Formats: sequence, C-alpha cells, structure tokens
Amino acid sequence: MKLLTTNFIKCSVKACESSNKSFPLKYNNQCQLELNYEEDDEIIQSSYEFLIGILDKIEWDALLKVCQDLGNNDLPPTKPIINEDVANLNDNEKLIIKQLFNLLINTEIVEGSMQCESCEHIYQIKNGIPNLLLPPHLS
Amino acid sequence: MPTYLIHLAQCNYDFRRPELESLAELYNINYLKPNGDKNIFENLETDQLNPYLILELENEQDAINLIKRSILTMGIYELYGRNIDYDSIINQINNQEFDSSPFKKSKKMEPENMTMKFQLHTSGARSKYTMPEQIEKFNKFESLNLKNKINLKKPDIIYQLFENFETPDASSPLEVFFARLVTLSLRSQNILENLRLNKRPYIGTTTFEPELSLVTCNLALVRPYKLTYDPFCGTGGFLTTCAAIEPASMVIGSDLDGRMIRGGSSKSRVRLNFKHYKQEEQLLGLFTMDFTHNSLRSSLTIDAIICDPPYGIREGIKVLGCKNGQPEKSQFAMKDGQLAYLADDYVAAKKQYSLDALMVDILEFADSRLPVGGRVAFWVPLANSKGIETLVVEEKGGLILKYNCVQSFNNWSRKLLVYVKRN
Repeated sequence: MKLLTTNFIKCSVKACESSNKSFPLKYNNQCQLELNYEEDDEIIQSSYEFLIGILDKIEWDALLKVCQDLGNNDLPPTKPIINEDVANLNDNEKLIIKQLFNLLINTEIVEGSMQCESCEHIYQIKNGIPNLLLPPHLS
Repeated sequence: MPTYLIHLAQCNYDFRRPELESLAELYNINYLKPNGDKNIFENLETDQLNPYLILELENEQDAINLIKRSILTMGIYELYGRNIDYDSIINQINNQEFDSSPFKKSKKMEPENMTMKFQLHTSGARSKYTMPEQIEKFNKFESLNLKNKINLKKPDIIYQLFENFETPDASSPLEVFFARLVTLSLRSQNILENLRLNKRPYIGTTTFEPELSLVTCNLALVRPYKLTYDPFCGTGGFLTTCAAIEPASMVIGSDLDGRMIRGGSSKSRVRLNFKHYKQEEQLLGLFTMDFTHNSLRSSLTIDAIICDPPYGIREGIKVLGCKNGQPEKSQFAMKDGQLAYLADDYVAAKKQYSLDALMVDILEFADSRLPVGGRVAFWVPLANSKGIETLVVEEKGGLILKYNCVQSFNNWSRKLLVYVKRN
C-alpha cells in the first residue's frame, strides 16, 4: 500500500467510529517499506497538479503521526501551502512537491501491521495489501 | 452560435442521452437545437435509424470537451451545410445562406499553409462508393475555391461528407452533410480495442466489459484530480477504465475477497493492469475490506462512486459475520498457542446478505461521502432468479435518481442506476 493510503483508513470496528483514537492507525515500526524513488524530473513535473489534488485530501496531523511511527521525523509541522498555478512554482515549492511525491506515492508499505488505539485490534498488511476484515466478535 | 454535427455510435441507445448530458454537465456546456430548443437529446433512445445529431454550441472548445471523452459517439464536426445533394449545399454556401459557415466571403478561410483532405461516410446504405465515385463528389467542391494543399496522410483539416440513406436500397440519400472534423471521440481513437479484456494482463470471470464500463465512468462524472472509489473492485475492471478515460483521475478500490485483488499471485495482480496501461500513480490504494464495515475515514471526500456489486449471477452477496448470529466462543478460539483470529492465515467468517439491504448501504454511504453534485453509479439485475423485480428507490437522503438505463442480454438484463447528490 502506498504511504498515502495510511491517511485514508481508520479502524473498521463500528464502535470505534466515534473515537478519535481510531484514526490514524498505529503502524508497527517493524513495517517493511519499499522505496521506488523517482528521479525523473519530467515525470514528477507532469504530476504537480496531481499532487496538489492529493494534498487537498490529506489530513496533515495524521500523516505526521504515521511518518513518526515509521521513523521519519522530517516533515514540516503544518501542511505546505502550494501555489495552484503550476506554471509559476518557485524552486522551493518544486522541491517540496518532489519530496512529497516520493513520500506519498512512491513509498510502499509491503509487509507489516497496524493497530487501532481504541479497540486494539491488529490489522495485517501482506504483499502490499492491507486486510481490514474483522473476526465475528468485532463485526 | 456555430452549428455542429455529432456522429453517433449506433449501439447502447439507452445510454447515449445520459452520456452526452453528463459530459455537458461535467464541462459546463450550453447546447441548443438549431431552432432554439433546449430539449435536444430526447430522441437518442428511440431514434435508432439516424446517426446524426445537429446542435449549436458556444465555441469549438465546448465541442471538443463534449465529445473527447465520449464512448457512444464517433466524433463532432462543424457543420457547413445540409441539403438533399452537394450542388444545393455549394449553392447555399456561395449565396451565403449559412449563418455560421466560415465559408462566408466576409470571413477569413482556414490559413492557406494548412493541408486538407476530403472524406466520405455513408450510413444506412448497402454498398459503398468506389474511389473514382468519391473523387467525383469531392471535385464538386472545387467551386468553393479552397487554396489548401491536399495531404492524405496527415492533413490539418478534414472536410467530411456524410450521406444518410433511409433504406439500404434507396437510390439516393435522404440528406447529405458537409462538415469539418473538430475532434474524434475516445471510441474512434480505439480505446475499446486497447482496453479489450483479452489484452489485459489480469481479468476474472466477473470483469466488466470495457464499453459500458467506460460509459459508467462518464455517467458518474469521473473528474481530473478527484477521487473515484469502487467498493466491489474485484479484478479492478472499473478502476482500470476509470483511470483510462481520465488520465488525471485518482482511484481506490476495495473488495471483501482479497483473492480477487491478488489474483492468486503473491503481489496484487490488479496492479499489473495499471502497470500495463502506465497509470500506476493513479491507483492510490487497494484494500481487503467489507464495504458494510468501511474503513475509509468519514472526513475523506469521495468525488465519485462506481461499482458492479455482486448480485448472485456469478458471485453471491456476502458481508462479515456468522450465519446464525454470534458463535459464543469464537473470539477465544486458539490456534498454535495464539488467538485464532490474530493468525496470519485467519479467514474471516462471512454470511449471506440481500441485494436490497446492500443497495441501501451503498446509497447511505454515497450520501454521506459525496460532495454536492457528486454521483454514484452502480449496476443491479432487473429481476432476481425468482423473477421479482429489483426495487429502485427514487430518493434516499440527499440523493436523487438521475438515470436508470437497461442493458438486455438473451435471458436476463441489468440496469445502471445513477444517483446525484443534491445540496
């Protein structure tokens, strides 16, 4: 699963819906990551608008927490504000976009697990696909 | 407003009006009948003989937007003349009887350094014209005094003649058109061939056919830089077509059956399709998840929802849970010294579910996640195996039924329901 998707999923248990501890899930620091760093500037350039669209969907605090779980403490404390006019981005903005693109889209969690901090159920990630199914007593 | 001619595809008649209306809404396009009537697409379901639709649009960009993503048309043309034969059209142009025609002498013609070609299409006729017969027709347009050089391979301008025959053995066409190509549709650019199921690396028994799957994406208003979700993605057919029809859209998918996503290999085979079509970055996520126990956080806006829920023709409807309520001790069952449900290879218990209940779940979910104007499009069977017709609700919360189109097969049919979220 792309690192980005950690920002989309919470615990499946209905009782955890109201708890603010069910999102984001707590990622095991033993999670196995795979990085497909993209150095091709042209591909990244064509993705500027794409990434701005994605940034729109992100809850930054949750992203910070997940990155911390996984051992990355380098993110800025607030969501970067990026000029929507992609033709006139400055170098700093371009660098931020490139780094975010590599982090969100090109970083994969291949194996590992994540836990809901409210009900403490553990979900497995296998071969890059998270399994969010529940045993009968939780469903 | 300039006049345009849409060359329609002669199939899936029920879906043609919804598709054109949806694309017009997507790109905010105003359209009129040449007589000023707004109700222009009304005959598209019933009129199966006439493949031409004449309409007025504000400008060429609108014409491009309306047709470029379309699946049930062939292309759009700027119309310069329509009459019973070419001589009458040429006379009309020379006498400046056409308001919108760029052939008016006051207006500048296409720049002379552009190359051109003429081509002819007949519809409804039994036989086609031979090359010399076609050239004879093209030569009639000499009197328009076009200065452009001819280039048959890669012309800048394509002048198109259409001849519409009423019956296969009519000796002369009912009507002829003289027009200039504005843009071809995705259909004419071979998208159906490219997405053909037998060309994809990974398909399953329930993978949806490309044509109506693409139309479904159009009816759901899949938008660039917006998120589309398929809660019953299976082998990822809808996700693939969605990414293909709008190369800047983002998709996520989930399925109760993780085996469908993985396709028997260790890594996700749905991803192989995305690799094959070079759209990997568009696929944001795939989850093994029960739709009715949804893990997508409720603050995440989903801009469009598309699905073909399992309804028992090939796959039955199942959700998490046990058949006879809660087995008392399942949560304490042990396996190899640990709780069984924590084991790597634990298979969650599933129970049967009804289509009606599932439809309510889909609508409630869509109602809570879609933005205003967002759409959910899903397929249901017309009737179940006992012949009881599927109940279609007109309204649910903030959702209202927009389209209900039927596709018939030999011994069963299914329909596409499209709901839109009102404010």
